[in-house]
Amino acid sequence: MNSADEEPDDAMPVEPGPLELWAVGDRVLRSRLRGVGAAEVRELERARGALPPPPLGDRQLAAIGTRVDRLVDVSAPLRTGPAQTLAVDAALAGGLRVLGAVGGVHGDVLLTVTYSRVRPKQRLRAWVELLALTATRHDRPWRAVVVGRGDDDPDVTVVTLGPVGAEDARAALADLVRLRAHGCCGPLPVPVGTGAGYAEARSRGRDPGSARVAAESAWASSYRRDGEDVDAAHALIWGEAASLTVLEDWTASPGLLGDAHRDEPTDFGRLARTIWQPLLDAERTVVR
Amino acid sequence: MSAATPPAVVDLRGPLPTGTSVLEASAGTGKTYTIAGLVTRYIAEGHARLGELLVVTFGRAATSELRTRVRERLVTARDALADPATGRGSADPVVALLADGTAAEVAERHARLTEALAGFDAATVATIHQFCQQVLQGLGIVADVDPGTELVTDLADLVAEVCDDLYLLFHCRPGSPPASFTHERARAVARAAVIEDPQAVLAPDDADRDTPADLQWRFARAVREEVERRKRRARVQGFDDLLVRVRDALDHPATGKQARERLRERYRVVLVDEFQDTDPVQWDVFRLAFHDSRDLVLIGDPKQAIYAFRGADVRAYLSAAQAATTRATLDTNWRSDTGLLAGLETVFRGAALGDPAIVVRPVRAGHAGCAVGPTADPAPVRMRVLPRAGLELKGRAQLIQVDAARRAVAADLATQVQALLEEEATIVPRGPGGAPRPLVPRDVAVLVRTKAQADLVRDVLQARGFPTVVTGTSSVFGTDAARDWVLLLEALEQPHRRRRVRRLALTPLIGSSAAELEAGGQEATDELADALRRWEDVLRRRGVAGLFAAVAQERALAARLLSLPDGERLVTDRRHVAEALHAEALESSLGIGGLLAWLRARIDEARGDLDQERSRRLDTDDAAIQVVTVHASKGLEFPVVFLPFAWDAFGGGTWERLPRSYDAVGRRVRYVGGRNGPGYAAACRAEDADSAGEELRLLYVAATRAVSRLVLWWAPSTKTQPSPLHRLLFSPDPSVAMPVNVAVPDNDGDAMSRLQAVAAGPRGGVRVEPVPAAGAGPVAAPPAPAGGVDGTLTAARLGRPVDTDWRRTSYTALTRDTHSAGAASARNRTSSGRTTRTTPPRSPAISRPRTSRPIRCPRWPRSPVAPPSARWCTPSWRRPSSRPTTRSRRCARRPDGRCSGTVGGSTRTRSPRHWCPRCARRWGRWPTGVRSATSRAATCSPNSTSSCRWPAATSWTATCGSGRWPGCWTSTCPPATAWPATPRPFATRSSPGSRCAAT
Repeated sequence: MNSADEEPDDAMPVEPGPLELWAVGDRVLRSRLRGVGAAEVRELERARGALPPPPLGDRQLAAIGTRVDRLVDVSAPLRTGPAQTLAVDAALAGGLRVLGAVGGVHGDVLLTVTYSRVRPKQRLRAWVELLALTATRHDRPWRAVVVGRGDDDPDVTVVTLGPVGAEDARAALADLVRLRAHGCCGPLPVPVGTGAGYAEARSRGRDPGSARVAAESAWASSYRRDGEDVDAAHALIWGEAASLTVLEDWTASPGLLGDAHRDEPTDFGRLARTIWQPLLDAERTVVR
Repeated sequence: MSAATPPAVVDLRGPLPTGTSVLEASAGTGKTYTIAGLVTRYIAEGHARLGELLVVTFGRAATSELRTRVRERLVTARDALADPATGRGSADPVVALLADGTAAEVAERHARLTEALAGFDAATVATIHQFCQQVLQGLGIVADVDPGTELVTDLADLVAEVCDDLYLLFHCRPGSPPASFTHERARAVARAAVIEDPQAVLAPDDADRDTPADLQWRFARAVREEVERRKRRARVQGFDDLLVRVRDALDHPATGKQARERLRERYRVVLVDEFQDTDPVQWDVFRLAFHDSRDLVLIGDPKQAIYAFRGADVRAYLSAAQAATTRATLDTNWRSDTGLLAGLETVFRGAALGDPAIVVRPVRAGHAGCAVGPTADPAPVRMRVLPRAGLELKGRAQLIQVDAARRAVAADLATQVQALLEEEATIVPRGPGGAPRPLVPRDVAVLVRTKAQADLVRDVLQARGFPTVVTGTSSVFGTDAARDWVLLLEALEQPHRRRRVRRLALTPLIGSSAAELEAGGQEATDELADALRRWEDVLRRRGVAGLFAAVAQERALAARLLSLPDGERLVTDRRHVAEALHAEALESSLGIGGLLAWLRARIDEARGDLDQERSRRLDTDDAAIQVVTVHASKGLEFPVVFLPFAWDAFGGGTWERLPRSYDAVGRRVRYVGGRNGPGYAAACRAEDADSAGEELRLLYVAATRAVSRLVLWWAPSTKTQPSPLHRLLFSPDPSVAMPVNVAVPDNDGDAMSRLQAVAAGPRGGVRVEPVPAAGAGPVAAPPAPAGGVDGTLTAARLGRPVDTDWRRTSYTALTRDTHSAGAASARNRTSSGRTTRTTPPRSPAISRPRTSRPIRCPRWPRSPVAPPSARWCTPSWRRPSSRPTTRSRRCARRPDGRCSGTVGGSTRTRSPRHWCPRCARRWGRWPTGVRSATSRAATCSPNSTSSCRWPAATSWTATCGSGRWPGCWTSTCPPATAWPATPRPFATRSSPGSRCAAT
């Protein structure tokens, strides 16, 4: 939704913002995964001029380098052999087919190494790819692994999803495809972080009330940080600084959510759990 | 001067102030009235001619208002003096005084006023910056200014650039220490040192070498120096530089004397308005130039000094007051009712507002009676006390959580407003002969301290169905309107990108809903994309204004949006942004891309933007309750004022500050060393004490806006302790001391009895009443919406007459007739050899020229000039404007007033001559009768010897009375017979001018 194009900046960078730093980190990580040496990458980044001149920029580059080294080290055992890209063609109930390709497959592992912190977005993306791959070819115990930065640098979070059974994968994929079709016609009140926060709390056995608190902390902005409610698209659809109640007031059209999770008090809760519960059941997280 | 010995009272009939005098004008005591009166007297009594007067005020709007008021006053006085007998009985003390005297004296005064009015444009009524700019231009090489230096309003970009460069320089040298302060901090330091406090001494200068405090201090100094260097290099200067350069010129050891003398030669009397908002540099300028040598009248109210955040410094006022030879106060309040003034006195109890010299003194009421009727309220000041019951409490003292208290007070405010409006009160006009009218929402103001409070009040009042407008300085670029414009421009930039087009469609500018877009499918989007391509063309040809007009018309913007509840707001904001974009597009020749970049930058900086041009305009002039911030309310008055949050302290917090303080000799100091620097805590405390004083003055300003009724709230909340109202009410003797924090009583009973005791003060006028506990008390039904808000819209009707005399027109339109008329008169001359007047002279006062009337340029043969319209033909009208008609015949006016042109191949130049003060007629020399003329007729009748050669021999002669000479349309034009019977319109250089027949 957001169309603010960045204006090109011709000034020497003094204090790169989080986005610029992320772009540098991402670029460094890609280079390292391609096999470029650490020293060489450092020289390249210095020459590129995206960071302030040394020694100001060197400190930032050193911090980025440390994080990237950890990501590369942790993911090294998983990166066996060259990455493959596999075609996906999953036949679902009702004659639906999911077509496409998934990349970054090393052996049995669908590997994602990212300079971002591991957030629900990355997990959900890996999950969908895993489902599609498993639904297409259940000849191997496919796993999806997301390697990304942990909450505290330089921790590394490794999230492993699967393996899942072929039938389970098809069912979960069918649910997601149905929800997506609906989402193309009307908004679904399930912002990624908010939905994940709710579903995780519930799957840990918390009651709907405290799960709601978890969801709200992801949704509502405080003076400290922005929540998902400031996202331009969310603000447009649900209103400026809408409260979580607006999402909870949503009612699902009949049949959309099936019969699962009847114990949820709101359709928002049912929707979140429909999406997230299978993922959470198949997920293991390690912080290294 | 201490509070114990109140200064003398200003008497407009007394002797005129001489030397340096400070007049303290409390709120509502008629400051502008006094200035205008003083100016009138200075002129009429011959102390100074108008051109020798300097009247300075702060702010451009104030300048134009003051100019109007002074002129009105001069006109009134002049007219009254025409008939001294009636004038002596005038209610206006100045007029009565001036009319009192021998006939000759009065006549002389009358003549002086007449002359002053004729040359009113010569009066210097200016802002301090305008004045300094004039001075710099006038001083020439005596001042240190590069000619051609450009004045820029905003140096922020330059400072940011310098800051970044120096930050890199500080941290990126080989072997430089690790970053000791962040870039964000560096920006804040640079802003503080260069933009906010360019004149302050920077502290701490005693930090250990290479500690962060020392580095920040060095950084701040380096930024200052570098900005100064780059300003000189780029030949730009900011507003502050004007003042500093004048100050430096006046203070220069070698040339300063000369500069000071020039200023003194130019001005004999200097009046400065709003002097409490001065700062040390401004006071230096006035002190050096005029103190001890000219009559310098400084008028202000230190109790209303509330602009410290803009760099004003009440200490400069106080030191000026120390230096003054006379001090006096204005003691009569012309704004508020007697009862209200008594109530204010009870509340303020002679308080010292932040400084022992800033004391609230009792004032007399200028009007008897009560402005809000029908019956006078015995207690026009009401103090509503919020009880703790039912609200969230915190801490040992059981104080109400501040947000809960704010909400409770806002709810009670809405109830009170509703009760007031249902009371069917009336407004009784002050002047004679006005009929009482009902009190309407427009008469009610809610004064708040912050924007957040304003929003809270607006929401609560609107929820109850009261129309409410928020006046304040929130930038229009922080609104949805600006974002809508970004989307529109983005879509215009790339109408092929469906995503942009569809996003635009959802904005109020286009007004489609998602469902409509979906239903319309591809075609709906394509249709809009086509419209966008069309609009892009409009934008290119007609600019943003044309684009907005096209969008508004094609999408029925007004009809669509105005039917929404907040429609006026939506339309006003969108139009405001359109105008800002248009102005920028014109000024900087921007296309779509440039406009987008500009608009995005404005949106980014909207939060800190205080530019008046950009602050949101009032969306409606319907009867609406006004929610105004205290800063914006200065100078305004409202019959009923609600002050809901005076118990709520502003500020606080633990962020890293850049505190402002004052050193032992009273110089301003800005501390840039950061929280670990030496002396940081002391500097913060000093700043806190100063801002506590300023908060008290804000309370004073807010409370004195009321004409007839004032409602205050007090609440025992967690933020009450440092709040101004609480400190005022709960300090034992506010005229002696008010601690920065005053304990809040533990229970409601103690608080209530304390407030009752204050209210029982000798002057009375205050009633203390508890707010009904939350949930208790009946909730009144919301009022029915006022008429016209039932959803149906009708076009507004223009009810006032249109002045068809006043128009803008093109030069071509003005002179179209001239060519034909000129040809006709040329034929006339050829046939008879001279032009004779066949029409009777035009009746002077009424015969205003219509815009198309042809006349000839009196300066250049056959060069047509625009006739003055009725409004130009005032004494301030100077020269006919003229323009070339053909290539060979040019009459160009040059900036120095000289006129040069080509006639028949030879270039001629004419210097400006004297102008008759009465009728704006031009003379080669002054007729001797003019200056000392005492009768109306004599003023411009050339009645004596050689000086009545009119005009000078080498110049042209004019065809007075024929209606061709612009000066003839004033009321004092002598009869036509007094003028040469044979006017020679365009005599050549060799021909002598005609002698006036009147001799």
